[in-house]
This record gives sequence, C-alpha cells and structure tokens, in this order.
Amino acid sequence: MITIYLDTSLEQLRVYLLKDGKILSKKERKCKNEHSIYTVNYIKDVLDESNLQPNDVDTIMVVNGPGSFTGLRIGISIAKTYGYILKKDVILISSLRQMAISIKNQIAISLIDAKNDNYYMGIYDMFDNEVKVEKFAKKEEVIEKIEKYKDALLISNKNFKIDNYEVNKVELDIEKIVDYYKNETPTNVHKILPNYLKLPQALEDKND
Amino acid sequence: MEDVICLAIETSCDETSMSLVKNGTEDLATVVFSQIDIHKTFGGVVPEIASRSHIESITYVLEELFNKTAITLEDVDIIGVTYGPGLIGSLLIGVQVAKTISLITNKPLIPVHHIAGHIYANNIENRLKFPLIALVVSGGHTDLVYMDKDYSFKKIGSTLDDAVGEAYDKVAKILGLSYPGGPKIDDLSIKGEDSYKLPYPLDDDSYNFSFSGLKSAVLNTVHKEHQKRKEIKVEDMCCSFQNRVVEILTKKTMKAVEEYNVKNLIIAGGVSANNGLRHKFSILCKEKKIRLSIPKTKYCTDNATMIGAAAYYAYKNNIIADLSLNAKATDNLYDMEILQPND
Repeated sequence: MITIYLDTSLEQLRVYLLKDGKILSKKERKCKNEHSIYTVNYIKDVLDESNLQPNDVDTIMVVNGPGSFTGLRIGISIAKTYGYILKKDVILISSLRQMAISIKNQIAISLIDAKNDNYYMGIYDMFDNEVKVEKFAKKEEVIEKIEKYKDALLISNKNFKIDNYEVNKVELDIEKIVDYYKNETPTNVHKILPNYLKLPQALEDKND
Repeated sequence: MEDVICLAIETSCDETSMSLVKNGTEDLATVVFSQIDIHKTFGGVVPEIASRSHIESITYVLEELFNKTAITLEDVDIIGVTYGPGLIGSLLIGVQVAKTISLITNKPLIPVHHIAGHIYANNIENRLKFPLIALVVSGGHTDLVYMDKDYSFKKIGSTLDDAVGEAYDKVAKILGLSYPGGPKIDDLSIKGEDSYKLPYPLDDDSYNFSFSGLKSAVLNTVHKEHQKRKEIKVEDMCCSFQNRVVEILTKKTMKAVEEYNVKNLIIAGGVSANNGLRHKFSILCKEKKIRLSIPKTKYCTDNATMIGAAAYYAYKNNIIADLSLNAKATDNLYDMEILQPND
C-alpha cells in the first residue's frame, strides 16, 4: 500500500511517500510563494528515491485546508489531476485536525493565524474522536473557547501568544496522520475542493 | 515527419480551457468553460473567484475533452500550458495540472506565453506566412509585432498606458453598459453616428498607442452633457469612440506593414473579435493587396487551441520546461524590445 502525503496549505511544504504506513522518503522546505515550483518536483524526487513509478501509488492524501488559498489550490489541483488520470483514491486531510492527531492530549484547540486577529480554529476531542468546531473565528471567539475548554492544549504551526495564552508549535507526526486517515472514504475527484472556511472578499462585501 | 499531438491547457483568466491540437494547426477537440456569468454580477473578473472556479472545473474539462475524441492520453506527445501573463492564482492551477500530467506521462512540458497563443490562433487551419506584422489587441495588450519566422517575436510598438480592451471596458462602465462591455460597444456603434468630437489618441509617427486620454475624453463629455442636463446618446458615443480606436489602430498598423515591407498581416487577441476593426482591416488590406488573417471568433477569446498551436512551434524551437515551471503574472515575450524598420 503506497501513499503520497501532500501538504501545501501553509509555509512548510511537505511531500512524503509511505509504504504500509511507514515513511519511505520525504521532501520538505519552507516556502513563501514557491509551492508552485517545488511540489510536483518533490513528488518526482520521493518516487525516484524509492524507485517507484507514479502508477505504483495507491492513495494520495492531501491537506485541503484551511490555510493559504493559493497554497491549497496548488496541492488540490495536483491531487485531483493525479487521482483522476491514474484512477487513484484521494483522501482529504484537515490542516487543523492533523495537528491535533500529532499530539497526545485528549482535547486540542488547533489554531492557524488568518491575519488581522482572525484565526482558523479547530476543537477536537481525540478520545471520543469528535470534532467540536472547525471554523474561521475572530480573536474574541477564540479566547472564549480557550476559557471554555480549560484542559485543551493550544496548538498551531508556529509558537505565538494570543493575549496571555501561549500557543505551541506542533511537530506533525506524518505516520500517525496517515494511519488516522487510512480508512477514510476517498472523495470523488471531481468534487474535491479546498476547504477554505472563508468566502472570497468580493462575496463578503456583497453580502454586507 | 511524425505527427505531434499537444494537450494544451489555458487558465490565465476566467476561462478554463483544454484542447488537443495536431501539428500546431489542427483543432482535434476543444473545451472552453467560461466563467463569464459568475463574474458578471461583480462587473468584472474577481481573481479569487476565478481561481476557485478553475479548481472546481479542471477534471470535468479534462474528462469532457477526451470524451469528444477517440484520442487517449497515450496518443498525446507534448503538454502545452499558458504560464503567463495573466491572473497569478488562475495561471497556477493550469500550471500544476500540466506539470502533474507531464510527471505522470513523462511527456515534454511546453511553457506558452499567452500572447504567443493569441498570435498562433491565426495558425489554426491556415499556416502563418512570413514575414508578417501582428497587431495584438486584448484586455492586457496592444502591441505591434514583427515576425520573420516561427516563434520569433520582435516588438515594434505598444500601448503607453491602457490596453485597448481595457479602454473598451472602462468606456462601457462610464456609459453604464454591463460587463463585458467591449462587444456591447461594438454592437451599439453600428446603430449610432459619429457625432461626438473625441480626440485621435497619440496620432504621431511612432508605433505606440495611448488610450487613456480617449477614455478621459469620453468621461469629460459625459460629465459635460450631464451638467447641461442632456442625455448622452449612447449609440453615438459608442460609434465615436470605436471609430477613433479603429482609425488609429488601422492607421499605425498599415504604416508598419508598409515600412517593414511585409505582405502578411495578422490580428490577434480578444479585441480581434471586434466587427468594426475586422471590417476596416479587410477593406484596407484588399486595397493594398495584403494577406490578412484574423482568427475565427471562437479562437479570438481565450482558448486552449491557440496555446496548443503555439506549443508545437515552441517545442520545435526547443522551448521545453522542467517540473519547476512556475506561473508568472507578467513576462516579456519579445526577443527585442523595439525593432526599427531598418534593423
């Protein structure tokens, strides 16, 4: 069982190749706007390193958001095309949930900075496997949730403070994430879209 | 020589298009998914909405393309894609799709400049004849180009401010015409008279153009008429504006044809669908015995067929990208910035 794991949602671009849940090869780098340059190249690199052909892959797991709109579309357009042409399963991973999966705590509040005191927020009870919230939220609402879930671990893709609360960077555990999602039902490739959690500005302005 | 089939992808603005093109001239199958109805309600293309729409439709377009023909992906020899210029978020999607297909199929990836595509729209069904002058008129470009062979583009002049298509859209907005305004001005101008005194824009000896002054003149006239509490005769304004534009475009282009001593003229880009422009050029070229080529209307607006046509000649000229190909919002097509008549 060969899996490609793709994460283009945030600054850290990650392309992993796994066999039966164990990492075979990986390529990562910090990107500002260069996801477009490196992602397909990295897929080729990880396949080459393991002497595999594109068609040897069984499943593509791709992070579909939330995150940078452009970044998400890069990963998704690659996964859709790959899955469509070679008739491979595509499984979608939440950028917020994968952080919660990577830690041991029962309750986690995952945050991704969405600029101007806004956050993408996910609240998970990993013990009961329950998603309590996954949304775009203003700072006040995030703080309200932090105060409500006092036992929750506050995690993100980087270290920062939100008022007096420390939010800690999580090192993603890719094997754990892939294992967690392995029995997920694949999505029809035509229907795969980024999970933006936010409307385009032009539409928000229109709705005002 | 062996046939070369190109799978071409174009997502530079608000059309998701894919095409199969044989030997740079034969349109085997083309799909164009236009987002125009989505953007209409905003009065113009909204980049983020365009990008979201592209990603929704890419695999549907790919499926429909291969459903139209017996050709399979194995029959394809090269993958051509518009890498720029255009809306970066939109371009990026086409580029990723093309790179992924190139990785999977191990077929050469050909980067195509959008304007080269517009020029090569004239090569579909009819081979270009050289040397030629090309007038490129679109929402982003107004360029005069000299070509003495395939895939060699020498710029001899261009707009100093607004592109002609941009001027059409802005004037349409001033006149309260809905998006896209260019074709509406073209239609209305037939019903009107050239009754407004608008200036000839940059009527000099150069091969450059300027349309922002003409646009301002329209705006000023509209304001003045409003102050006098007079209604603007929209048809007349369309006619006067279009006449000035067509006049200056044809004048400078025909001058270039003469000075560069060519017998072939091609018109390219979205504005080449303009009936007023097509009509005037066909009269002038008949008079001067110049071979005129204007793409069929369906190849004037953005489409992947023209990208497949250009990709073939790019490939013949060894323009091949690797998997690091990136999209570029702006990029220069020309070998030489300005070519003088006796260079």
